[in-house]
Amino acid sequence: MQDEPFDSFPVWDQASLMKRLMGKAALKEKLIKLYLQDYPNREAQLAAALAEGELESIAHTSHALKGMSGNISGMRLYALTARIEAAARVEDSAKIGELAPFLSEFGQQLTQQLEADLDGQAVPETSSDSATAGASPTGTRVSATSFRDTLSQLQGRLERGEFIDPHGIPLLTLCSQQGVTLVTDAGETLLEANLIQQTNELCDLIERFDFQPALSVVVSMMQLVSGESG
Amino acid sequence: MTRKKPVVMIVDDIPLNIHVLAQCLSDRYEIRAANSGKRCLELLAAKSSDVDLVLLDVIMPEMDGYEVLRQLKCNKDIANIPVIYVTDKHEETDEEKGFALGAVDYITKPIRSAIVQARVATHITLKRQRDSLVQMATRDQLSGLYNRHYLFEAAEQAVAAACRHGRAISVLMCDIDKFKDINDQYGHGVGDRVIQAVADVLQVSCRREDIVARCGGEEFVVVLTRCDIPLARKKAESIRLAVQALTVLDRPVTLSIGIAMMSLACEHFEELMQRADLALYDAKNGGRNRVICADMTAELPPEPQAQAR
Repeated sequence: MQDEPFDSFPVWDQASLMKRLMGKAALKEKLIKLYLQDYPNREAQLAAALAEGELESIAHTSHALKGMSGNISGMRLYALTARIEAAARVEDSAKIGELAPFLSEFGQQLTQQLEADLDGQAVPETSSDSATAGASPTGTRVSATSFRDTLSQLQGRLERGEFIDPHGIPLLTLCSQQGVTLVTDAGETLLEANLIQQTNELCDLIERFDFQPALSVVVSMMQLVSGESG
Repeated sequence: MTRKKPVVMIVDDIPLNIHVLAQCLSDRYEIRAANSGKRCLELLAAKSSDVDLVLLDVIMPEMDGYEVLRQLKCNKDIANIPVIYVTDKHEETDEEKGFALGAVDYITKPIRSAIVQARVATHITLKRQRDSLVQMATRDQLSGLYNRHYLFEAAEQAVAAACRHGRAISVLMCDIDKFKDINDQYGHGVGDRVIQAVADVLQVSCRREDIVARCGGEEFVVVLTRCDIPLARKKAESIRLAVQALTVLDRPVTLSIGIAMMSLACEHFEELMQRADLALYDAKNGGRNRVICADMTAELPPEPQAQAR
């Protein structure tokens, strides 16, 4: 049976993605960012496997790219990677050779559309937090106790493998955007902590479900706070 | 009483796939996430694990979904957690392989929210119903401890395993002192509270691997695995003291305990129970609120000082 031509598949079927996400626009933005973050590595891995002609590796890497492309509704790339995987599994190197040249083109088409969508809907980042005690040029003043409590709760949740939205934790959002100055309960400055980088790394690890490295970051941040507060 | 949301674990090596599935389910379920098969098994095997259902990707690096399911089924503590495969493999042979290993269902990628929600809901309902049936069949309703039926089934296995591996195992037979007087004087409501309070003491005093059961009326049995007489005696004494510290309606509560350890002859659980029961009888006759060990002459040759009373 003849395969359907690739141009019969939309590059990106935004409507089907929104249906899958039940209309949640914020989640769409998050997933697009994750996809764009992951895509270069996945494409490079598949391209390397294709260049080497290593069939098992081609099957694995095309499978991974197929899965994530399907879930973001990148239907043309999904169709391509599905065919590459199928050909690899039946060891049809000739077919793989025909399909391989499309990878970079279809990938580029999809990532361009996703990037354009992100640019069009970029929402200004906002910060809000009930635990803040007022902003300052060196970062928002935050109680060291609440900061430590937040990290401690996060540690427990990571250990249990909970699904966590790090941006739903106000102190982390604040810290990743502005940095914080930790203060004692009496309001004295304890630590002007530039934790922006660590917090961003932590949020990234959580969103990628790399919980063990995320736990290490939490522990090192807790040690930093504990060290200052004695 | 509000019932805790069911817990669903999503296992996939690609973060985006976990996010997509989680968004379909997070309104109705608590979500756990694992980005590898190894991590999934670690989380499930943790003592605090409360996962009701696993959504498992098949093709993952290092350990694929089939191997995860194989290992999960080998661990009796987690073997009954239902597993749904989520995969874009959809050939019949793959599905058959998954079902043969014990998966309860299949969902194909790219996922459709309505299908995921419907299938997860079905299997969560079945899991909860099965849990309720198991609870009713194995637990005593008043105390929450195991019932007599479960005790005999599980203890016989524990005794056989201890015999096979040459490990010590002991039984505590416990009875609330003058319980009839409590019922007669204060009514059955208070009697029930006393039973619940003693059950709580027993439960918190014992390890997860021990079997703590209400055998009927005011009688309780504890099977202590890997536990010889000196340890069992220490445990029994701490239980006795903890119960003595209880007061229900300002009335003191005490407990008599008889102990027996499995003999070298590898007796059956019922024989062990009989000896513990005789020791309990001695404890009652000796004035109650005490711990007595069964005749040990046949069972502890290396420690002759551990004599019977």
